[in-house]
Amino acid sequence: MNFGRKLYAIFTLAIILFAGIATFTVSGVSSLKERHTIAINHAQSDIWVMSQVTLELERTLHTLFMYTQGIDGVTHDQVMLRYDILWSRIPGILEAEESARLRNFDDIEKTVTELKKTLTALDDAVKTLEPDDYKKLSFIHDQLMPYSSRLNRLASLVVSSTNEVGQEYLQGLEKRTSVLELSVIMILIGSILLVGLLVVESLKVRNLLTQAKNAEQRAEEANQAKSAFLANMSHELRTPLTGIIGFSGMMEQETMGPLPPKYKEYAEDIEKSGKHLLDLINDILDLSKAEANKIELDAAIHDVESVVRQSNRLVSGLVETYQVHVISVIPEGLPELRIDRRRIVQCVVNLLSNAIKFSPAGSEVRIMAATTSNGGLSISIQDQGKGMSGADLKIAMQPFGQVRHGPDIQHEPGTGLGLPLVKLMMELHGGDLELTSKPGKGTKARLLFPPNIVIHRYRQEGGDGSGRAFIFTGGKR
Amino acid sequence: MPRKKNKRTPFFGGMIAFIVMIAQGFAVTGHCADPFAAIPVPKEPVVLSVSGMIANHNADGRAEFDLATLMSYPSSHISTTTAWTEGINTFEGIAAETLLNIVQANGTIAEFSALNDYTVSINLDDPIKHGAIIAYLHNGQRMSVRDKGPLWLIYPLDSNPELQSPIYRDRMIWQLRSINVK
Repeated sequence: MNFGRKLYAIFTLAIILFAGIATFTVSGVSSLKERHTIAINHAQSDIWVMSQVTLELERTLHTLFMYTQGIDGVTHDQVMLRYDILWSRIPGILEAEESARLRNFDDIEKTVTELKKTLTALDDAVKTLEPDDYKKLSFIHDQLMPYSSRLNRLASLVVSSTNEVGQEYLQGLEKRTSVLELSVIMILIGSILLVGLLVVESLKVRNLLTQAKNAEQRAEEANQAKSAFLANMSHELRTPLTGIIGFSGMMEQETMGPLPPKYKEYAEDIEKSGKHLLDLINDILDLSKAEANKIELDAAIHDVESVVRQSNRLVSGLVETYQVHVISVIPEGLPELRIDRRRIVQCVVNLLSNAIKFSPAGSEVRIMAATTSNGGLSISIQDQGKGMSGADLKIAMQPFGQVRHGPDIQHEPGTGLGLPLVKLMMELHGGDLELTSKPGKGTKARLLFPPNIVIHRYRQEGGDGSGRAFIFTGGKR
Repeated sequence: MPRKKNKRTPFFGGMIAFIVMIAQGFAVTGHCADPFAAIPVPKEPVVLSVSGMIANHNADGRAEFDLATLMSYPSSHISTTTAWTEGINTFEGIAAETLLNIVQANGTIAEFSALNDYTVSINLDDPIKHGAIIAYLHNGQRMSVRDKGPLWLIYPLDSNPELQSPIYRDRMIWQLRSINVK
């Protein structure tokens, strides 16, 4: 996975890099074009300027010759015009700003400067030239003639050098084109690799997903098998236990004749152990049923008071044994609940017996019912026992998790399945179990019923109206 | 009632504007150069010949000008830098539009040629549109042949960035000698 990410980063960076190179190259091409256009313009201008001075020199020589020979009636004015035109080409090379490169080329500047000197020297001779003055003509001719070949040579050199402008442009273009090609190929390869990587990664993810799904399914199946096994086993275990408990009870009561006192004690132990085992099996059965989602709620509308009252009755034996006071505070006019009565009584009894068992003799266990802020209802059981720390609370909520108390507290061992069962039952009702406790401050267990199972029904007013006594005078119709 | 007045006003306004416009048009052409006036026959050496599709001649199918004649027409000024001169230079000459009006050019393009036979072909409306002049004075001085004279077609390069291109460098023909309207 990590390796894959690195590859992603490398490929993406490569693509960005080459895209950058390509963009840079393309912009380079446009600037190359611009420079080329300017260079071409300069080259054209250079060629033109050189060719013109060469041409005008030839024309001047020709006109001088025609005039002296008297051919075609060439006039002195025409000679002067040609001569002046030749003159006018000089500043274009020696002074014009754009001829700076040209002046630096070979010995153009030297040659043209010399030509200018020669022309200055010849000015008078040309102005005063007359037909048939062959001597003067040959003087002028001899002075100018050498420039003809010199200028011609330079002009052709300029032409050939400007050809290099095109060559340079083509080479630059070629270089950039190959860079561009390389970039495009690299981008293409990078993209293909990236897509390939993506496909491989997605296949991997899909594979993992399938594996996870399979694992989940297997775990689910295993859990269900476990629950089914436990349910079956519990059932199978209960049958012989009934026999053990029944017969040990008979022996304890000496139904079939007296037993030696030691044996009677043993029979009592057998019955006690058997009952404990039965409780354990029953709890396991409930828990595994609940986990296997096999519990079906037998919901009906019941009022809280009767539920609490029944629960109280069921723990009356324990209350006597542990010498605690159970006080129930149920306000009058409380809404009813749509619940599986047996299960909820089981929950209250469970919490109540826990509270009683972990309370010191003479202390109070308080049962309170109240509506909650979200429109639900709660039944809470508060004891004055030793309390638990946060870590202990966690243990208590786990199956078979029993918190060890000091040796001073004598209590019957529980199954360790009570609280998880209560929680499961409450969850089946859409509610929850909330435990709050602090060492030395007692424990408070709250059964939370959601608003949707809280039923507000018209109830006739009755009783003394205090709404605080456990023994209700009215309510039931 | 006010409606009628409102309806009439734009009509009369338009008429008046039209008449004023025509009058102004006559006034302007009359002031600049009368296109129907004959071109004087040159007494001095000819510096410019215009040929081709023109209606006003003073020679065989051509209109020929000496410097004095050109200078007798209304002049225009352009101050600009050029590729061939240093700093800002003032040129004075006859506007291309004025000259083309005088010869009554009715073609679409003109070939401008120099003493050395350098020729550029320019759409007739281009020098008119850009206010080009045929200059005969450079910084107040006449231009000799050695100094690119006597005539130089000048565009106002500095006042229009559009003109700062090699195309206009080529069009600014110096030692201008003839124009052939096509």
